[in-house]
Amino acid sequence: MNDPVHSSRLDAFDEAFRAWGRRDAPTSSRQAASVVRSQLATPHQGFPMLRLAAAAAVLLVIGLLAFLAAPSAVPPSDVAALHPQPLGDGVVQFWLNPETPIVFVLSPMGSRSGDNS
Amino acid sequence: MSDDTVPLVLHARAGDRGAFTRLVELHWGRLVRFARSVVGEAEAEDAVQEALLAAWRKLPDLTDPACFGGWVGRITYRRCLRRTGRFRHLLPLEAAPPQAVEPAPDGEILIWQVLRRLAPRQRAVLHLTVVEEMSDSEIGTLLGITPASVRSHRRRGRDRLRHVLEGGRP
Repeated sequence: MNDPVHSSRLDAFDEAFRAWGRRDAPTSSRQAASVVRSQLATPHQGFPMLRLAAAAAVLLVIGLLAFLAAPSAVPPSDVAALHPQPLGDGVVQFWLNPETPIVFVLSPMGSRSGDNS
Repeated sequence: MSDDTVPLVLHARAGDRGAFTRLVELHWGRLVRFARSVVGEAEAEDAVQEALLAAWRKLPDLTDPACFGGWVGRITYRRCLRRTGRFRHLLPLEAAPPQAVEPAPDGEILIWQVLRRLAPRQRAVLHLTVVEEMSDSEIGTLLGITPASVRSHRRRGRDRLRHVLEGGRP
């Protein structure tokens, strides 16, 4: 059971608290609104700009990593195949790429074209 | 929340500073009164100002414009809690032994001297109960706790108050 003396103290406190708690703010709402307005950032511009910059940075890093990790256009093992290789007397083969050979047949001085004998 | 607040929130959410300024005017007094009971007179207005600037930044995240009042109240409450946490070493909280509160010469109870001996959550619940006369459900929604927690905080706050008003006697 509540002690009536204690209850009356609490009641008195509540009454005083209510009066204290309902006092107006020292700064008027109009003045406060003006101060707050002067400090408003532009979230609808500021945050997208940050997000855009972050996205661009991520894309740049991904692109750089992809470039560094990509295999070179010509595998090292195929490089030798692209060098001219003598196949026999007067025959030279070049490779435009690993699938495209070009064969040159060189005629000796004084022979006619097509005469290999 | 009045019907004309919702269009203001919608305009503010779209980036209209004028609409947000009007919302500040409408809610300033209520928020400062609440913050005053949680962090004291000296810090109340700064806490509310911080909260309103945070609300402006977070406004695009507010899904239901009709909930603006409770939403900004909750942001204010969290800012106040952060402030009381920052200065915890300076303020005697629940763990501190209760001390007698000397009445002012004219018999007036020095409210903040009493309130500061309660935990910040207890102060918030007592303010919303005694000053704003809100229901447990409304208080729970605003503070982000259950109505049962509201009752628990209020009961502990009342016990503590009784203790303090008696001058620390059991």
